Formats: sequence, structure tokens, C-alpha cells
Amino acid sequence: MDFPLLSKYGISCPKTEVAQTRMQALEAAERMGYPVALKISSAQVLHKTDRGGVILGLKNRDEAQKAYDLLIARFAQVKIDGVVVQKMAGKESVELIIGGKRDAQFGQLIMLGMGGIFVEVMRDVVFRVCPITKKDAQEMIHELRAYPILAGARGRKPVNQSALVDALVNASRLLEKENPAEFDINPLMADEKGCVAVDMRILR
Amino acid sequence: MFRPGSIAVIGASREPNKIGHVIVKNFIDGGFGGRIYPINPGAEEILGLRSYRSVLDIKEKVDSAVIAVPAAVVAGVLEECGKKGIRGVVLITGGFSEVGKGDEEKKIAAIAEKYGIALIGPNCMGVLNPATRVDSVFLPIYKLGRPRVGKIAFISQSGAVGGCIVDLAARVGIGMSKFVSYGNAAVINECDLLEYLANDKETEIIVVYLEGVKDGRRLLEVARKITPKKPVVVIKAGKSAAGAEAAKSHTGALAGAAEAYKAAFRQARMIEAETLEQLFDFAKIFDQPLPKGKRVGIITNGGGMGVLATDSLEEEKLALAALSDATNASLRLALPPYANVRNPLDIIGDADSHRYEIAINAMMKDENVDIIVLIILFQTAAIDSGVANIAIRASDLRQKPIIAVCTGGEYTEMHKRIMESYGVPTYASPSSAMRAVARFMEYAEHKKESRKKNK
Repeated sequence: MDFPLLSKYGISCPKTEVAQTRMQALEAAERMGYPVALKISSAQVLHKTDRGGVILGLKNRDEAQKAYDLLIARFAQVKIDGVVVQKMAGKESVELIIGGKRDAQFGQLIMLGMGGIFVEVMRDVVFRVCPITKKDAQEMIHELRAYPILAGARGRKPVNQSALVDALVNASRLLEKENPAEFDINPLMADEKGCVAVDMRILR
Repeated sequence: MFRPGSIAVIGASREPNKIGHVIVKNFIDGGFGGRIYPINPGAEEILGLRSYRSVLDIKEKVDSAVIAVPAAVVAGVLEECGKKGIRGVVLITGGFSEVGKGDEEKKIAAIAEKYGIALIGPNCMGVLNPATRVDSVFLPIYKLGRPRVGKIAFISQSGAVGGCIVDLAARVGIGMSKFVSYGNAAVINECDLLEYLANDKETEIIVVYLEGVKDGRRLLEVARKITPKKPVVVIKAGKSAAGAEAAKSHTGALAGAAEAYKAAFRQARMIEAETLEQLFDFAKIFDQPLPKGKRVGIITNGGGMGVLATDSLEEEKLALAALSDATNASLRLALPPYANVRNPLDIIGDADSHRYEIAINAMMKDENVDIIVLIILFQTAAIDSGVANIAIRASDLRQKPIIAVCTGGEYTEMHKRIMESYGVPTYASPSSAMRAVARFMEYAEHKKESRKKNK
């Protein structure tokens, strides 16, 4: 995951801090607000999730404390650099995907889609040729079939559309400059406050 | 190319089944006003015209040439065209890049460039200009009809599809300003043609059949500049997801060629048709004046068709016009008491031409109505040809766009053809009509916005 790359183009990433002690971890969690995730940070642990090095959805101080202790116990045998505390998106967030692809005829394409199961099954995605303007980005959002969900259907809080427009325009700049073969921000968690790239992948 | 004073047909033949014969015959029979020079090394005269061994043997100036000789001798005759000072060439001959002979094609392109020849083809069906009767399409006129003079220019990568569309346009009464089958696009490609047509005074609507382009970016940029001036309707063939199968990411797997084209069409505000039927449906509505707003007025002599039209209207997110009080009052006075005065306006199954005239006049005057959709069921006893006349007259006013929906058999088709020939777009179903209306409205909006931006 290359958060510095996203940050360089002004795409928000989750608040992240590295803690060396339990106290530091809890203070960090408090600062950013729950829910948080704790992740082991160690050069010796490559596939963190597979080895139980990631604990998600910690809703309060008590859960965070237990998770911290569990991680330290689980990785007692390896040299660790610390524990990463990462802010997680709230329940109200909508999972989106922003992607890119280098096309032989048109150059960089940018994609916006509904994330999670929707991208796989419903293929609710919209494309544009880069670079895009703010107006293009607005149209992309409106063209999603699931647009009413973003606009706040059934008492949901509407997603912050101007933040999403910015994310799209910034991703378009990234695609133009970096010119990757393929690119995914998946998921991009969007809520009424803004949108945050939780995971990304770039194929040069 | 489109209005030459003289034309050489290289590869002209006396054999009626040869392409070179058909082309000369089409120029003669079509009524081309300029000089025609058949070129054939072995013939004295063809179809009553003196034949020459080479264009270099002609004393007079020659503006344009059609080449239909075997691929092996194309380079030689093209050189001669260059030396003769011919500036426009249509190269019908196939057997170049489409069969893997890209190098041969490059050679041809280089000769064209050396002499500054605007070359269309190779591997194409030629060009048609109904106004000047330039007709290098090598299919006989009795087999492939030629459309009347109109405002639609149509360019097609495929000769076969292009030919079918030209034939259909002629049959249903749709007019064309130009037709170009540009084949392998060795020199002149779709972007060059688009730029040409953008400035062509005879063309108001551009229709494009695409299979693939070499430079998608340029297409996007060129089309983006044209659409604020003229509508461009496009159909893209070959939408299978080639290239997407090897993808490693979500986006890669979802981004096939179809998505890229769709995105580019959308950004350039081209109007994309999914089928050949839609290509016609969308193109012909632009013959009408652009609507000022999005409110649709519907007149029908069949209640059910009105309901179907309303469903399609909602599906396309169009608005049903609310008729003004004045319109309602005047219609109540003029229509029989059993007619339900609202929109869709059902003037009942016993409506005759006169009743249509009353309803059309009322909606023409009503400021709340931006476009009139006329549903005419020609099957009823009271309807006759007069109603087509009423529709044509209303369309001729060019006050407000008006289109007709007529669903039916031979009698209906006949009247559709009459209306179409006089510029009233006709549709086979309420859904196809509303789809076209929606594209029409979107384009009108785009044009309005671009005008605002330029101020």
C-alpha cells in the first residue's frame, strides 16, 4: 500500500500512527476516535492478515487494549517495529472504488464505482478519459445507478459530494502523471464528512 | 472530392459485372454534371464515352479520380494521378492492411503525401454527394438506392454497413448531404472527415459508424470541438471485452474497449446509438429545430399508445408538459365533449385530420410545450392522408420540433415515408421516439451551455 503516493496527489488516507507501547496506542486511538484497527508492524511479517496481525473494528478503549495485548502475545517470537493504529470508517460510510487503466487508444481512463459486492456483481461503474474536470466528476457520480444511496436515500446522511469530486479529480491527476498500467483505490470509504482511501493497488 | 468539375474512373470497364463499369454507369445515370473520363489501357470507348490509356493522356485538367484496379497496379496509377495534378482520389481497391499488407498501404500513403493528394480508402466503397451527383459507390443504383439531398452526413469505416444504411435511408426517405466509406483510412481518417464536415455548409448532422480508431484521444478532441456546433451521432461496432481478460485489478477487469469509447463519446457529447435503428432514430430528429426546454406534449388518437408514450417518457426522465389554461379552454371548445383534455391529449379514435390540426395548433401556441409528439394510428376509419399533410405543414413552420409515432403495416409505412421525405421524423414505437427525444433534449442543453460558456 502506497499512502504517500495518494497523499502526494491530495487523496485522503486514514489517520495512522505507530505506537511503541500500549499507552501510546490507546492515546492515539483516543485522538483519532473509534473505531480503529490495530496492525502489527514488522519486517518479518509479510502477510499480516493471514497471520492474524490485523484486528479491525475496535469500538472502545477496552477492546483496543485487549487487541494490543493479543498482538504483542501473538508476535512475541518476532522482532516488531511497533503497532500501527489506524482510524476506521464509521458504519454510515459507503464503499466506493476509484480506478484507472491505461488504454491503448485513449490513454488513462478513470473509473468510479460502487465498491464491495456492487462492483463485482452489479458492475455499477462509470468511466471517463483523463484528465477530467470537476464537472466530469460530478456527472460520473450522478451516472452511478446507486446514486440515490450517495445522495442520502432512506434517511441516510448524504455523502460529501464535493470531497468525492476532489478525490476523482486528484486521482485523474495521479493517473496522468504516474501513467500506471492499472490502478485501484478499493475501498474508498465515503461519508458526510469526506472520503478516505483505505486500500490501493498500483501496477506500473 | 465532393464537387469536382471532372472525374477520371481508373479501371473503367466494358464488362457490366465489373466494378469499374458500374461506377462509370452510376456517374452517367445519376446525372453527374461534370466531365467523366474512363481510363482503361485496352478500350477505345466505354458506355459511349471516350476512354483513355492513362490520366496523363487527358489534355484537360482533371479534379478527381476513382481507382478500381487490382492492388498490384495501384501504386503506378496513383503516381500518374499525382503527376496529372489530381488532388482528390477515392481508392476502392482492397488487398492492403486488411489482409496484412500494411507495407503496401504505407507505400500508397507515401505517394499520396508526395503529391498532396487527399486520398480516401483503400478498401472502401467510395463517396456520395446527392447534391452534385458524385457517386463512386460501386453498387448498381437499382440494387442500392441513393438518398435524397438532405442535411445528414454519414461516414462509415465499413463499406457493407455503410451501403446498407444508404440504401435504407433512400427507402425511408431520409436525406443525406454526404456519404463517405473511408475503409482502411490510410491517409484520410475519421477525424479528418469530421473536421471537414464540421465546416461543410450542406451538413447539419454528422453520423459516424466506427469499428476502431488509431488515435482515440484525437477523436475525443476533434469531436469535442464539433458538438457545440453540430450534433454527432455515433455507433461503435466491436464492443467485445478484448484486452480486459488479462487484467490484474478490479478496474482493469472492468475497463474494456467499450467502456473507453463510451466514456469518450460522453465527454465529447457525441450521441451514442446502440443499434442501427437508433442510428437513424437519433440522427433524423435533428432535422427539427432544437427544443427550448424539456416538456413534451403528446397528441394521440389511441389511448393505449398515449399510456405507452407516457411510460417511455418517464423511463427517459422527460417531463410531460402541463397545458396552459388558455390551451385547455380552447381545446374544450373545439374538441368533442368526450375527449379528455389533458396531456397526453387523446383526441379519440374517431379523430380526423381536422381534429389533429386543432390539437397541433393549440400545442404550437402553448408556451408550456417544448416538443410535440404526434401519435397517429393510421388504422382508424377517420384517418386519411390529410393528416400527413397537416404534420408536414406544422413541421414546415419550424416553430417547435414535431415528430410522429406511427405503428403499423403497409398503409402506415407509406405515410411514414411521405412524412419523412418532407422532414417529419417518424418512429415505429413510442419508446423509440422518446429515446430519440431524450437525446435531442440532452444535445439542446449541451448546445445552450456551450453557447453560454463562449459568451
